[in-house]
Amino acid sequence: MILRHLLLVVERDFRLLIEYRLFLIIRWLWFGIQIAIFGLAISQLVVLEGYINYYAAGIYVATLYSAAMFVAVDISEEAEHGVVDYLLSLPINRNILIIGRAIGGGLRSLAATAPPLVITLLYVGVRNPYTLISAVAGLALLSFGVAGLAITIVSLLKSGAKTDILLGALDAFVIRLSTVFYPREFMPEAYSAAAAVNPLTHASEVFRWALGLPYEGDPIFSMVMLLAFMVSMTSIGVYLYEKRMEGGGWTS
Amino acid sequence: MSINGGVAVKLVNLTKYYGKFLAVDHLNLEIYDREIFGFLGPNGAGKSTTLLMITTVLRPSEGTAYVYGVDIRKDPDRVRQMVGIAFQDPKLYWVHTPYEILYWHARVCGYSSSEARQVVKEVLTRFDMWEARRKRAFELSGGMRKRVEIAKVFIQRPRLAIFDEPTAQIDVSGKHMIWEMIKELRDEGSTIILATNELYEADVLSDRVGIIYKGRIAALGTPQELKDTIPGGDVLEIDLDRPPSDEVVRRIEAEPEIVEVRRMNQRIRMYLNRVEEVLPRILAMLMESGYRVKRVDMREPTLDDVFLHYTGVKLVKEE
Repeated sequence: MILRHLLLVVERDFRLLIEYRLFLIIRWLWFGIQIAIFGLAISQLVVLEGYINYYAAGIYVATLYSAAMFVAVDISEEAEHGVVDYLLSLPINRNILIIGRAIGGGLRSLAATAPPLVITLLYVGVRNPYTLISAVAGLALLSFGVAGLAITIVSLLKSGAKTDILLGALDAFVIRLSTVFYPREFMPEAYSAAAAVNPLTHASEVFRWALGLPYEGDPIFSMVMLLAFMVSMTSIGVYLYEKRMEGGGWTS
Repeated sequence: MSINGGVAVKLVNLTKYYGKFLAVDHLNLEIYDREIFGFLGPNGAGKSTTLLMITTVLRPSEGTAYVYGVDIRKDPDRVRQMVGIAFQDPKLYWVHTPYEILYWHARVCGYSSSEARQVVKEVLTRFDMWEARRKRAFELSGGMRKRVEIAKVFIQRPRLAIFDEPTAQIDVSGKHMIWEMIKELRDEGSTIILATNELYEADVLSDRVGIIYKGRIAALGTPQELKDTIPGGDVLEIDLDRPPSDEVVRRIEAEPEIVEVRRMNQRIRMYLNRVEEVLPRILAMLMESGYRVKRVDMREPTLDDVFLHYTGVKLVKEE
């Protein structure tokens, strides 16, 4: 019964992908334009050789991060429609419910960003199938972890408006204090230190390693960091969702 | 009284605070197996909060409840396996269709995919929603959304079914259909908690009624038992052209068959016996005192009278 419920919760979140098809198409167009116009132009200015490939890998990771964070928007919208109460009333173990939501949200994000991933792979190329599998595993860990982070944020704030504001602020910091767009060697020391523990940095570097691009650090260490990020965020999300959601008090 | 002997739900000092506001005040109550228990009270009385605690959606501040002997605090997972609730406000995510919502609900409640398809079709057809099954929640009218919400419980067919104001926003024919379905569910073996502020609904459906007011149980019994507790078997209301004076009220109270007199602006409500004998004397006295009688109403007590008697306020607001 536990596995059945887990799969049903995962499927429910994953199925939302179909409902957001217009949003997805716009997102994919944005991704293509970002590389074809901004990426090509900025690569003329940047001294780093082959920066367009570096940029393409980074912008994919940033896109995946934003897609996974969208779980927070779903949950806050559901809360405003009272659906959280409904989910809490179901004969599903609460831990299974939250883990299922994190996995479902993570898988949905991977699926939603599959076309940009394919474009990136085709454009940049792949070192070999094994590194590609490793990279996809790393990206999945990031996706599940960010979905867990999204659940944590929305559970703490219990407000749609506050969630939107914090997601915007977080997006600015988390993406910019990482190696999504530039290597750590070009960052001020404090920024570089923050980037070293940023999961987006580790996801970007694992992905670049898989694509045969210059990368920083050790891919195995980055995978361990991503695994730790996923486990910790999902655990905190599970704990907070039950403690905070049960009890109402949601504001728009 | 105990229908079929067993206790389905037992509330023990069940209490809920929202900050400093006391929403449910140390409720103690037993709901029997296979009965329809009407939970009657005005908006804000604590009905929904109590139900949300029983379904483990809200955590009690103090006390607890037992559902078929299982403590909601200690084993909420087991409680949720026995309980289904139709919320007061439909809980539907705007992008989902009635079919998707009910199919997923059926699967969560243990139906195989083929069984789920079948039961969803049956229930949607019965609720006259089959044609609208592919519309998204935001495209549905309030009444249709409410039907989808209630349909969840009829798919689940839980041991303890909770309906929070099930017929609000539903048209008259829909109300009768839902009442029949609730009775069928009880006859099949479910215990029903029916929270409502509709007196007629509570009166016709409930085996027992609990009146909740300001978070406390004000009265408990079968609808007839509660009506019988009203002093005087009859209720007489007389509307005058102006508020009655203290002297007039004293003279009415002096009538031997009068049990209780309440003044409500220009209306006098009397609880009394042998109304047919007393009425001519009261009318004569009023006219002699210079009052013009605008309306006279005689009837048996309703649950509203019961509510008024126990709480001092009317459940149904005066027009």
